[in-house]
Amino acid sequence: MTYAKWGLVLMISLLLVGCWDQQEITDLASIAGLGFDVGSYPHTVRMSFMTSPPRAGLGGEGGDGSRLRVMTVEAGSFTEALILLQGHIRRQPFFLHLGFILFGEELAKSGLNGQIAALQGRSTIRGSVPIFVAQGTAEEILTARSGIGHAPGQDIADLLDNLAEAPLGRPTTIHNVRNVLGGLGSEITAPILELTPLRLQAGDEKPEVGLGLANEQLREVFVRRLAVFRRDRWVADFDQYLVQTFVLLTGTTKMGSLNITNPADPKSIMGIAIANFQARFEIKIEGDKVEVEILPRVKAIVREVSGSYILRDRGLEPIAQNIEQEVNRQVIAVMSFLQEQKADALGIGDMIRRQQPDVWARLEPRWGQLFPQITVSVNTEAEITSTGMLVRFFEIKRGE
Amino acid sequence: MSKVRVGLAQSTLALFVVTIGTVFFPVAGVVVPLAGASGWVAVLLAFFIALPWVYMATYVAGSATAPNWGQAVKAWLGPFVGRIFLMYFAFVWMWLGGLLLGQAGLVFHEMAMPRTPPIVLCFALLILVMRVGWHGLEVFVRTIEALAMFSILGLVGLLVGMLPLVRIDQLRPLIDAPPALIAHAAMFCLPWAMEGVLFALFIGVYARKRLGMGGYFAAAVGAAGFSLAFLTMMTVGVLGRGVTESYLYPTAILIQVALPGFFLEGVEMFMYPLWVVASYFKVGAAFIMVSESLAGVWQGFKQPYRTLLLGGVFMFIATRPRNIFELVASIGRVDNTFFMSFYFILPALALWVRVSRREE
Repeated sequence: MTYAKWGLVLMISLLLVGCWDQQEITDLASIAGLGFDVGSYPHTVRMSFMTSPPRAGLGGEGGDGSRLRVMTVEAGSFTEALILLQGHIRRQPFFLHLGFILFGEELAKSGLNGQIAALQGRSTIRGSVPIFVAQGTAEEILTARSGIGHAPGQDIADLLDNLAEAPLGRPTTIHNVRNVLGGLGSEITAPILELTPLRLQAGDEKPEVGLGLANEQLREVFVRRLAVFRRDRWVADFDQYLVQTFVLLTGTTKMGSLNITNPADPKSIMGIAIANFQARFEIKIEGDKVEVEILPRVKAIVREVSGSYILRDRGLEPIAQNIEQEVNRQVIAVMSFLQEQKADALGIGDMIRRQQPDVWARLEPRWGQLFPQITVSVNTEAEITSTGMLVRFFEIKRGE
Repeated sequence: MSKVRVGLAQSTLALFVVTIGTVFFPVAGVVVPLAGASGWVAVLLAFFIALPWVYMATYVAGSATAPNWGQAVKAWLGPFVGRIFLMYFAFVWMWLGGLLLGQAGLVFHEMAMPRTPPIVLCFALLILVMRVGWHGLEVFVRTIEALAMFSILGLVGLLVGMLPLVRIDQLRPLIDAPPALIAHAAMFCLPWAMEGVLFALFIGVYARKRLGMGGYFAAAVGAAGFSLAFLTMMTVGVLGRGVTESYLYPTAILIQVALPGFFLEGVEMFMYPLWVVASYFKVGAAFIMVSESLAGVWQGFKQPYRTLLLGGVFMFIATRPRNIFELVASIGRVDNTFFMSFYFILPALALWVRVSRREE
């Protein structure tokens, strides 16, 4: 009986609490996405909050579709912005369900220091929240009404899921940013989100122009480039070709694609799928002279060939050699780009710190000058693991 | 006179969980700023250093003739010096216990319940501790058994959520700081190990069987050290050095970053009960040790007045720090001054008991 009484007390006590402490879910505005842009006045920041105000009898979504809204306020600090935001949404902003943070181009190019500090001070903002930068403003990306995603912002969540599978970008988080900025020897990179008018067909849209039911322009959020930072400033970006090589070198994904010249016909190309990419970095240091040898190992599948290539006659070796040459060229291009930008985004300095802490202690203060001068060599080893069971690729027979 | 007896396995389990206690939450934040990625080495080193003191404590506890803490201390040191020792022991644990009670309230308020004043949470935990303190050591040890089983679920949940997030490169180099800094970090862990040693001294008096007690207790304290070192390693592996060293309680931040799946937004549901349980282990142990020590000083100090008065004192101490920084600084003072003093007192006590035994 005593146990039953205590059990009852325990169960009743659970009914006394709200969704978060003493607050009911209807008192909270769960923020799904957060955007930062430069404000209209000096020393102000424009903050966009993507939220789904709850309604009686319904959850965040439901009824007549998405209820996600973007509220924008300008303030001198994040703390002030939250107060101002409450004036719009009449609920307390709640960040435990925050899905992503987006920095506008102008802000990211002028420095993220203040915003990263603001995010650190909120115990309800998880350090694992991913960070992106926007081509243009963050607000524009957040408010884009896309026909592909289920709701504004859903595109970004979908893209994020895909970054683990395809080498489209290297996702970063608040914690990564703080770890990187807290020491030398590595730099931040963040996927750049861009907008384009939607041209795809969907059931409730006018497909020929990409308009929604209310004639609003539907726009697609997409990612193809990667922003490279020097400390907290966005200084350059990888184009869509270099992104893939960079992402593979960092080990974020192991799969990708490669176009090489057909060894049998230099005018045509071969489409290669990279099934596994692993890179080893060997670093030799003598005084201030740093030599980095990058040793990628590629397992590849020959997927497509334009022109002729008879496997029985030529074998796989010429293809592997061309893959090795192409990977060497791309890796050198990535490293040259980073050295030119003085941004050690691959974390060569960090590698030295982990392998030779004493040497790093000596190099660290001058790493900014030393990184552009390091000598890089690449030696790729490629292995063809499959040709899709083909021995002879498709060829058009042409007469005279 | 109390006839309470505790089984060797029970007391070993109690020693293990009390030694870990709330240290589970700040450990990485204390060692990583000094020792970097090799913070876990510092934790292991400290608990390894403390092992001889565990054997000293079990040696002294093994010489107790009756299962009563107050009587045992007076038998070792005589009625006068014994009472002074008991008062010092009670003072140290009362201060630490009160502050840990305050810590439970303040941290819970900061992390999860910003609208609820910390005093409400302190009071809720205190009622639980007082009720168990009133019933005595045997009930406390039984609750530890039950809660340890309950905690296993939470710990497994945490491990499953955390392990995939560990990045081995963040744990390198293995020795990330000069030996002097690692030793310095280890020094900050020594009081935690001593808390375990003192609890071993206390609970050893009540052990039903004492054969092999030294080995069991050393294993418990060693396992606590190993667990804390593993946690430190995992914290740095997931959060990285920069993030770990910027928080007072990095374990709470560590738990926040695990994203086990779409439906289950986070694994905080495992963290909050663990925090309460860990606080209960340590504050409850402190309360019972203080209560038994005071009963040894003056036998007329009967229940329930002893529990009521102690509850008031614990609450008073818990509400003194005005913020989390004052609280952490106070805990640091108690640990690094008074608990460290037992690294000198305990060998002297063991020597005294040894000499007294020979004379007898």
